[in-house]
Amino acid sequence: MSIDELRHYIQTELLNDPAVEIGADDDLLLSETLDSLSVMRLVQHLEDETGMAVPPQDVTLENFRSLRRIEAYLASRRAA
Amino acid sequence: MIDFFIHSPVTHFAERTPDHPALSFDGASMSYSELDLASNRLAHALLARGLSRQDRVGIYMHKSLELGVAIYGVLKAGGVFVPLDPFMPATRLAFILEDCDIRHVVTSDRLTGPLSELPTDTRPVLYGLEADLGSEGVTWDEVGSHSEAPPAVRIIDQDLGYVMYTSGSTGTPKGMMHTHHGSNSYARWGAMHVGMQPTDRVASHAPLHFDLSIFDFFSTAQSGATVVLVPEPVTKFPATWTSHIETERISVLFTVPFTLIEMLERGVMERRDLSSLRWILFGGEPFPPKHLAALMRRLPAVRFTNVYGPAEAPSCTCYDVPPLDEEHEEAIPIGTMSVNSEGLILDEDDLECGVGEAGELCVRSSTLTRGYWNRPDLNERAFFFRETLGPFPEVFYRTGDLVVRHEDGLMRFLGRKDRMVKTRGNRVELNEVEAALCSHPDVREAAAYVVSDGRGSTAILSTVTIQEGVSTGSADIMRHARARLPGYALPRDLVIAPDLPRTTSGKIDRRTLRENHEFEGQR
Repeated sequence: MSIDELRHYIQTELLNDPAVEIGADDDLLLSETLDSLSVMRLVQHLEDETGMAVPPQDVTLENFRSLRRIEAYLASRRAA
Repeated sequence: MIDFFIHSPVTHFAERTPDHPALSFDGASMSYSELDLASNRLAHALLARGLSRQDRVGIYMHKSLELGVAIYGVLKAGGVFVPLDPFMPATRLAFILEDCDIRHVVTSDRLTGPLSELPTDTRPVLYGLEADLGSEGVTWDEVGSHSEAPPAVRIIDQDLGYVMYTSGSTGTPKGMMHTHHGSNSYARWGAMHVGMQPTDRVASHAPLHFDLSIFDFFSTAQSGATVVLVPEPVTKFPATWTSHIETERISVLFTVPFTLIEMLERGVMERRDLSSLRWILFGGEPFPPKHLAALMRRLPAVRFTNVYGPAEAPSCTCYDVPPLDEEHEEAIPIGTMSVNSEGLILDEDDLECGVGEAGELCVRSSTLTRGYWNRPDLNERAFFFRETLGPFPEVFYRTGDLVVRHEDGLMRFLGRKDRMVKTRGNRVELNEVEAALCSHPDVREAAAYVVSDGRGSTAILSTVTIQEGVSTGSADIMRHARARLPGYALPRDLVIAPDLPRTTSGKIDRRTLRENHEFEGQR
């Protein structure tokens, strides 16, 4: 999934506000863009879209801090 | 000997164990001596800007070492701190600032946005900034130029230490006033209960506006132990949270069941060395026994305490949970009254209930709030007086919680008095409905609520979440509930959802569920 697709999902599905600006390196968590429930929904969405399992040990602050980090994590999962 | 005030332990341990860490955050720490001196400087900075005894000071900050400096600085200046949730909407922030007449706020550069939108005449003086805002702000540099000597301020321990705002049932926040005396009693209870040692490392992950944080900061300081401030984002990731407990060697944790269930299910605990943990306290909501039993099996060396108490009278009862077997279905008792509290269980006519009879728990406690700020209407309803031998009547607080004391002497929480509903003429306790649904092995969490059925009565509805990887349907869950509940108490409609909405304090947000739940036959 691309950064744009991730951004679109977060804006429309998690925040219900397509106008919210989210930069690729914005901290999604410090700005309270995502709470713990939306993290769970996002993980579910990633699994559905990519067909890859996201194991609980990978659902970490490091991997989900920004759109770019999430994209990089997905790329590393595909490569593995 | 430690002096009478809630900030006194910091000065006490600054003299005895000056280099021992008082606070730890994100790899950095602050010793008792450093905290003592830094908070003295902040106190002087507040006094220099005209703070008077018992003036309210907002603390509008994320977790950081400076948060600790802010708390102690305000107290040492004779002020009253008011936690302001950094994530709350601007309208609520403005309401609290005005309601509590807050003219000083300790904050950080990151949070000045919402404050600068306030009308100029109500804009408070801001402290704790990096950037120089001129006359409207006081930077940490400027704070640092003040004296590090203890400020000479005269207060007594009956004076207020903090005002904590919670959501009122009508949506208007209400502020609870707590004295030094009362918070000290709560803090000492906590330190004594867990046998707090200087070597303990106590997690502070609850937001400051949540009363668990009073335990985190002040019970820890009672014994000169260390508060480990947990960055807010960490707790959103159970796997990061458990890793944080491991690396920070957290030994005592006071939290809500939801956080612990998340940790159990998604925290990959089997991959972590959690041997530093020795005591977990939980409260705020009933802990579903099957999850607690599983957690206790996962952490066999840890002691578990169920702490009950509204924010008005924190920790007024407690129960040390014995090992539970897997099949345990009965709700975890709230136990017996704590050493600083007395409870009366009263029926609808204010007569004391006998063993086995349900009634409202009314509490007299040294931790009891001095009342709601600016709300004589609420104070009138929430408190009553009982005559005793001396000239002063005893003050009791009506918790609004229904409890029952069984023959074993332990009290059980049955639910909110206002969660007792009538449906088709029958009294139903919604917590019982939730407990019955939750006892289904595949159900993870359950919420029950009522809506009008459009025919002059009410309908019970429910939303549940189920364990990962199971495909249980609502019919199966209803079959399970039917075997446990009378027909009139069965939910009219049951929805399986991926998750349940939460309030900022982590409790299930039943209001949102109720408002969004559409069902057949509704009108």
